[in-house]
Amino acid sequence: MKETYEIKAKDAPGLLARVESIFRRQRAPIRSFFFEGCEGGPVARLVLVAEADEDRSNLLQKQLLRLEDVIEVVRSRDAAAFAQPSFTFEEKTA
Amino acid sequence: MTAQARAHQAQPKARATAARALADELVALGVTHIFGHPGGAALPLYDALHGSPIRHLLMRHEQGAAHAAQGFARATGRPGVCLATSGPGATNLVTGLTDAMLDSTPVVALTAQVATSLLGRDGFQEADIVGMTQGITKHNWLVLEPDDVAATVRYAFRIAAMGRPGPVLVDVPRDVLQGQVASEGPYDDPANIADGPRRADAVSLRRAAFAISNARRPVLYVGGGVISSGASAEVRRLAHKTRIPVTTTLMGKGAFPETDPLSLGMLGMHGTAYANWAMHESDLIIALGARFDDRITGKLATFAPHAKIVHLDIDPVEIGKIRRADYPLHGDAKTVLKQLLPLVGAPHTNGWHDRIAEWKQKAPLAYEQTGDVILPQFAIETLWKMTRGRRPIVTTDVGQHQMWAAQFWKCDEPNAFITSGGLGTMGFGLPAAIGAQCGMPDRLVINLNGDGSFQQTMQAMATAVEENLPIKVIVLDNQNLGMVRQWQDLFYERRFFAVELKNPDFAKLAEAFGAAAFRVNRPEELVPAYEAALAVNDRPALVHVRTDGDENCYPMWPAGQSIDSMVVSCPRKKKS
Repeated sequence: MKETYEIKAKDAPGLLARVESIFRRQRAPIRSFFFEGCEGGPVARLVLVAEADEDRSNLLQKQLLRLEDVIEVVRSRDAAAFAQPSFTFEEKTA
Repeated sequence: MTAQARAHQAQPKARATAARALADELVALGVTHIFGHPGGAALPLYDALHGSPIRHLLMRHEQGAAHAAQGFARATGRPGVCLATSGPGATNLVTGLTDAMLDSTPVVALTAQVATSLLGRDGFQEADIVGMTQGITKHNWLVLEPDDVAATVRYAFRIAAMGRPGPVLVDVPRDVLQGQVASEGPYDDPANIADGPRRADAVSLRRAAFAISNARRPVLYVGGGVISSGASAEVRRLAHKTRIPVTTTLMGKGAFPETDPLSLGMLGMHGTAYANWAMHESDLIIALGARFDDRITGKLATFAPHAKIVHLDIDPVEIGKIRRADYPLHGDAKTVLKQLLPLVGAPHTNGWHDRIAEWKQKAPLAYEQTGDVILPQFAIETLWKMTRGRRPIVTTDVGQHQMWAAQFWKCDEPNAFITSGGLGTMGFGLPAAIGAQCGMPDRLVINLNGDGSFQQTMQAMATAVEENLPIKVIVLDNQNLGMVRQWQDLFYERRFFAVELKNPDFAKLAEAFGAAAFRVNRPEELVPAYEAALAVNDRPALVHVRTDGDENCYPMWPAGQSIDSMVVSCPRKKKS
């Protein structure tokens, strides 16, 4: 089952590796990936589509939120839900 | 800050380098001990620590440095600090950091890195330690600007200790350590960074309180999160107010007094039969800072089939991760238990207590010490009886002796039973004892060890001697990798392979290091040897106890099996 995750995070070195390792450990293959940084800004937006059932997806969301860099995670079965960012880059990091 | 620390900071700063700023920051953060091993890339920081009030313990292997930092943290509740150079120094920390991650122990690892000009070019002693430790730390940093070094370390301490504690790593290239800093602090206090909710919401609390007050067969299932939170007093109050029996995990030992009549001791694969039966029959499990590890649940599909679950944890990932929580409580254990206490009443549990009393009578923890061969259980319990009035802190290593210690070393207070739970790291115990003794210099610190595990980090004995640490090391020598042997005995038709150890004379070895040493071969020699070791106050003392190599640890159930397959005790089998 495909689930789409929109991740708002501090744009710090190692962010992608940290996020990817969460999916890898949960054996949730990433099927597509989009990264959008804010020029010179502290916040990045990641949109990932991965294979995960509801239980695993819920766990993934909580584990992503445990990462120090991650500020917010929104998920949906509808990939089109994230065609536009659900947050603005002007927001301050936590 | 101590007078010595103030004097150190008042020294003229001949070189306002990042290394010096980092050393000053460590003093300002209240660091008293660093467990480390120097090397080329780390020399700028070591130079900056010269003359510092911080006591540096020169460990003989960096794995020991990480475990010592864990022991310090677990005994004191404050982050432990380890320090290593680049490359192999840093990679040797990995096992200890993983152990700290699994057991939620606040450890700050400082590693030096090759100069930035060599980064990514396979320079001498270069290792991508930040990449390697991403999955085994709460967070890590490669700091590339001298001005960021001290502030990052301050931030790292905060991350290590906040929420669910854990290890962090700060990696700094040599040239960055040597770089000049524009500012020398004070740095922003990161106390206001997001720390997650500490209080549970009112609705969830009331629902949980109602379930507790109306349960008929409740059990309090208490884990290490209670100790991290400092919530032991609140757990005692909850148990005594509601008269609900309490079982603790390996990491939770001491969170509730094990000599209390309500205690069921440890549960799980090698836990008491009555704790496991109580969990199986329970209608409400109140999980406090515990994570339903597979060594607790066995086969999940058959675990506690009648029970609803109240699950309190500071880490929302844990709630519902293994077993669905009917009454989730997200927050800090101490804070939430304080909220919960006025809301709960005592459930009607009289029949339940009778049932548990029957189980305790039917299957107590027991052994029979007869003949000339010392049973490890007897060696452990004898020392516990001799020292229980002295509030000892005990560290264990990993293996059979660890499980016997969990069974027979009754722990009545938190932060006094320090062991490697989640990762099960052989080699943990001795360096952890060093760390614990540094953090608690006035306490009696005992390391219960096995012959196999002692040999994984025994070089730490040199550090203990060098620092005149009066730790007591008990090596229970059954001439085997006992737990592996036990599995081969029970599940591999006694095809023993790669488990028999031809050991050195541990007493002679300890003497060679400069420690006091005693040998015990017969049961009647135990007490005099323990007395002699306990009388040594100026250096470590090791007691080498020859034990029965054929003894297995029970109760036990096979990994992944249900409680039905629990073997409570087994007739002794002699080595073929």
